[in-house]
Amino acid sequence: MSTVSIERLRKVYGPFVAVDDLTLTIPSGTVFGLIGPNGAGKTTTFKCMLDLARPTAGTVRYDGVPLQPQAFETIAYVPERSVLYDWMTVAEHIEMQRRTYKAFSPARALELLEEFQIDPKKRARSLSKGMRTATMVALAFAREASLLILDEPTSGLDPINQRSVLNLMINEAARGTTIVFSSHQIGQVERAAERIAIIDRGRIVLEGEVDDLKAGRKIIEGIFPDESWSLDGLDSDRRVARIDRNGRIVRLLSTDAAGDLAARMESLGAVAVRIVDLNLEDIFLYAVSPANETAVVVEETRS
Amino acid sequence: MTYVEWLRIRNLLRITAIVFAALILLAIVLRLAFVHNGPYEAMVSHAMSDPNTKVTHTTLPDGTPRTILDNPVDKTHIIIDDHGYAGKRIVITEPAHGHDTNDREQVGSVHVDETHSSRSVTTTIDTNGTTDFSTYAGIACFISLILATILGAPFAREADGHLEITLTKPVSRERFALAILGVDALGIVAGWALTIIVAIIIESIFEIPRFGWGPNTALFLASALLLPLAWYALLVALTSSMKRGYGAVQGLAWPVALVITALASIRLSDTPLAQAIHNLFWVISRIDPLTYGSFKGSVSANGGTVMTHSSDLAARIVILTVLMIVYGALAVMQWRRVEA
Repeated sequence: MSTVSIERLRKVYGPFVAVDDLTLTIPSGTVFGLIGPNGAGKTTTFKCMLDLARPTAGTVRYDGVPLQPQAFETIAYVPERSVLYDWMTVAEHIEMQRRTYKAFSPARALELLEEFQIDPKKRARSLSKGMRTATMVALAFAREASLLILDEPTSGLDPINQRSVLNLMINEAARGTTIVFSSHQIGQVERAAERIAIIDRGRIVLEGEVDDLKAGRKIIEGIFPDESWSLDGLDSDRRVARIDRNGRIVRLLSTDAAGDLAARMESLGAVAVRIVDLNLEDIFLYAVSPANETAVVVEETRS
Repeated sequence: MTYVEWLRIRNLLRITAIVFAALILLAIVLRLAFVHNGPYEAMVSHAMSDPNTKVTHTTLPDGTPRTILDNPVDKTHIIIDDHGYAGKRIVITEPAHGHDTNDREQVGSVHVDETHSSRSVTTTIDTNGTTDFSTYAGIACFISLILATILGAPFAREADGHLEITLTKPVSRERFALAILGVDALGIVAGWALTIIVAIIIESIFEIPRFGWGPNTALFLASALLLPLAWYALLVALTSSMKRGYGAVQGLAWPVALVITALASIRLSDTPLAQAIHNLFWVISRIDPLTYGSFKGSVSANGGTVMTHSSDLAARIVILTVLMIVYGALAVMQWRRVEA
């Protein structure tokens, strides 16, 4: 367990299309980051993966077979919001997990709770948002699952506990656990994930190995003497994923041969040209940000 | 798998037990407060206040104190045998007052026999007669209905913010649902049994419990147990696809069900509209478990309170069982379709 294969997944709530024709393969043993703006369809995708929501169309398979209830022995899920029972103590939640999952280790759960400085005697209602998240993380990581699905697992946590959760994920991944997670903290995704998918308005707009995505993409930034510069074919160049223009400043997102494109920009009259390495945040923003009026956008799918 | 539901049951039964403990305490206080000042003592005191009443105190060979009140003016003669913890036997003889049919009534352990002759009426009151077990079952049924109402939204409670836990358990939704229904049913039965025990304890504070078991008592017990279970199943069926607002359903279920039962049983007038309303509510009332909760009784051969007709009781048991199964199945079907 577990290669997760999602094929042409679609989920519609009334007139709203939450997930649209989403196809994704998450190889076994990888740390996979799913990132996207609010309402992009990340949580719905997770819910469809776990049969918490019934897909309108498409399939989700685990090692080639549809999800069976027994598979939850090895799949752990941390939702984005607290689903703890307010009236129960943390210790009772541990007991609940112990009675439900064969592989659950109460000792490990207590150890993690101590790390997060959470008193097991406390009722869930008396925990802060971050402590609730940490409790859910502890309960999930004490299960020795082979697939961990974590929806915003650092939400509400302080930086120290955020780092703890990231370390937990990295340690689990080292044991061969498949981890799928979402986060708005792109830096965390960049640090932990091997592969990412960027989802926007229910569709995957970019997917691949983090290193590949970063290596293949550069920004060529050129400053022209005035605003009367001409594209001269750049908009149809297959190596240009996107062109943003802001007065005299032009930024090209290149997928290949950044040096050639920089030279070409110089030949078009740019007085200063520089090639900038992209980080994941740049890639994310380019993938999901709508073009402004003056920008010339070449569809990402073309690359 | 059902640990959370067990905790809910535990908490509910704990609260129920606390209420019962308070009632037992209250009963003890009342027993101590009115040990020599009960309703019968008040009656004797009232009779003695009449200057025409002659009071005689004697002791029977078995040691029972006997009080005789004789009022020649009113032609009233009262004999009170005080058996202490085993109750009192009171025989009142007074002039006939028109009504000439013999009556036998029972309220709990108090048995009242009224015998008419041509000129007098003899009323025998036995304060510590047998109590048919169906009386305890009736009380237990009422308490269990309250427990069933409180428990009657197990799936809605899960859907209200916990589906990510509930639906990711390594068990099918159907099996989980059946397990939850089973746990709640056990909780209701436990509350039912606890109520009977407490009722007996409270009775024993005042007098010796004497149990009666009539020919229909078993049927009555079964129906008094099935009624809260069918009621619970109805509430679960009504709430199992809800994520919010299920408390309103639980709160309004009793008044609505009682109004349906009432409108089904009374005729407002003979107009076609009133007749149509009556017929409509009569049909609806057939699927309302509370319709089958009438505890109208009569006195059986051994003096216990039982339902009038055993065939009626048997039919109720069948109907309540069918309702319980159908509502349970509807609840499970809806639960299968719930989405987070």
